[in-house]
Amino acid sequence: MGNTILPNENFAETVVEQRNPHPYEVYVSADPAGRIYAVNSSAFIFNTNGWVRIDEGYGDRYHHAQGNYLPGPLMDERGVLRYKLEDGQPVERTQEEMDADYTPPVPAPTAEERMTEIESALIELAAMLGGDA
Amino acid sequence: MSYERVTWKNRAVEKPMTYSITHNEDDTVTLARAPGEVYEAGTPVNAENLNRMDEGISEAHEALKEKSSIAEMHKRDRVANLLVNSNFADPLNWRGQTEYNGNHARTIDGWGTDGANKKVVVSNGYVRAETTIGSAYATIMQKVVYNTQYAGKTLTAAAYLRSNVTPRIQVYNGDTSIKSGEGVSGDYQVLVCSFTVPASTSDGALIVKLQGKSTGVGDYLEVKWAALYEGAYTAETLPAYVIPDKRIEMIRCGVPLNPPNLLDNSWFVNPINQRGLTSFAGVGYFIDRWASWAEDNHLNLNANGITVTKSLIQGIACDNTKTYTAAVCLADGSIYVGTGIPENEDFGVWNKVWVTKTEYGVIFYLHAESEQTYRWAALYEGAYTAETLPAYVYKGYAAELAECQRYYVNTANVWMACHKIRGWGAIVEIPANMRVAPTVLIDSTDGVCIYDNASKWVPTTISYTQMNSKSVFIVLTDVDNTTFGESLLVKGITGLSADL
Repeated sequence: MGNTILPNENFAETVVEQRNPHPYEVYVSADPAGRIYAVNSSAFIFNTNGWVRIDEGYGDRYHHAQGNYLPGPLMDERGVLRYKLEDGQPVERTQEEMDADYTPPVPAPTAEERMTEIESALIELAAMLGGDA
Repeated sequence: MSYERVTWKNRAVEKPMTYSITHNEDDTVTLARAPGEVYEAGTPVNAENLNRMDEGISEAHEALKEKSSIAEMHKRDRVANLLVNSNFADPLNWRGQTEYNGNHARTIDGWGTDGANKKVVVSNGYVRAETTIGSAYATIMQKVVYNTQYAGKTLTAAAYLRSNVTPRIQVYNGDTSIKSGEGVSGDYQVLVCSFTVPASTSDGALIVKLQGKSTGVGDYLEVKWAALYEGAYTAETLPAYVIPDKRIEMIRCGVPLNPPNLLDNSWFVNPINQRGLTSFAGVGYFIDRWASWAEDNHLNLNANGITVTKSLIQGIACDNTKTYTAAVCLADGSIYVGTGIPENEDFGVWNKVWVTKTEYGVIFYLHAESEQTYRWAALYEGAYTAETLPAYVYKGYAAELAECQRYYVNTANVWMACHKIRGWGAIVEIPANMRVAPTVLIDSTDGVCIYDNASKWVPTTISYTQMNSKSVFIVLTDVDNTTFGESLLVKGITGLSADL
């Protein structure tokens, strides 16, 4: 319907190649302990040094692997990495493993605590000065 | 009163042009015919015969005048064809198939089959109905719309058809046959069937079937046109079939006259161009949604549109088992149209526009074997010809930008607010409503940096988490969070990609 001249052989091959491009390869980066801190695909990584290839395929899950390959977020709400590389595949870390990585932040002193500390220091200073008098 | 011919006969005599002369006393002469033997007296050229011809010519003129009079023209126009898409020599075929099979299959627009084991083939100049088993009549049928207004009235169904078996027109009211008219097997003939619409007819109950009374597999019926007129007609008095205006038939058949253009960013005179490129060579995205896959491709934007030396492609997520029409307009105003079903075969117009199947839908090519400038492109669902192609409609810059940003958002050279998360890093939240959770693109030269009012901090690692199509959290870790300030800005995130 409406088609005209048949394509030449070269373009036909090109069309076939473009219609069935190579599958997208999925890569992860992991720290020395095997904790995965980055996911991406061959569509966006041009130098795979430091990356480990874990899968390949077609579709958004592989093309945009960064946000779509893993079933959940890379980190939990505490900023602890949720996946590790095991036998070349990403697996979820256990709760104990994740808890062991968590360092609670040192709470900052309240204004009242800081005032109390300042007052204590002043009293001590006054006592020292008064002792020299 | 019909004209009676004179049937002129020539005079035939022994001595033509022969006269005797008589001299008169007043010096005049009188000539008298001397034909000799008269073989044929001939028809006299006299007032009676000439006036008869005169009268006949006059009556013929009057009759012609009457027929071509406005009153007669109006009378003819009122004989509307109640069937839609009746010109089978060039029918509307929005589904775009050349062959239809299936039980009660919908075929060309407005027509269908009446059961299993039937096939309809759209051929060059006619539509052919076939049976695939001997006991099923080859059939193509139409339910008459607005039939209740003709309750109690006389209608005439007609068709110009041929068959290798007995052709017939069969009219039904629901499941009840109310009239049939049969022809003879052989060459094309006009078949008519006058009938009275039952007073009890209900919406959609009146059905006209064109059939071949099949006796074996492969028996067929071929139809060039069909009609249904109000009034009683014979084959001799039937109004002349008038090929309907295709665009009016499209309206009657409910074919979309302004279907959505499935392409994004298709107006190349003023395209969305977030990357800000005016020329490009090689492989990669150029203007939004359009990419080059050919290494030796050269592209540039100009006042006339986009110039392509090899190809420019756009991926469209769609159902590639449906029929689509691809169209392009070049800078010189010429339009090229191609129709097909991507699942079955690639289609288009070579060196102009091409469509191929892909795993998520189709790939639309602006295809040029040499330098060619395109003004616009379109992809519509359904089969359209150059004659019925919908008018190209530019969606508008804002609408196009919104569509394009579902696939790609450019954030190059954009400063973004960054929130310090005590204990583990900083978060950048980028609101976006994209097709899928996008891939974050970062500056390949300078990377990503956090700035406060005093210093610049370079994160050791960058992770992307809690991503969805509506927002992206970019976590910048291993930064000394005890020393940088509260007001933070991030630079180096160049874009978000959800491109196909």
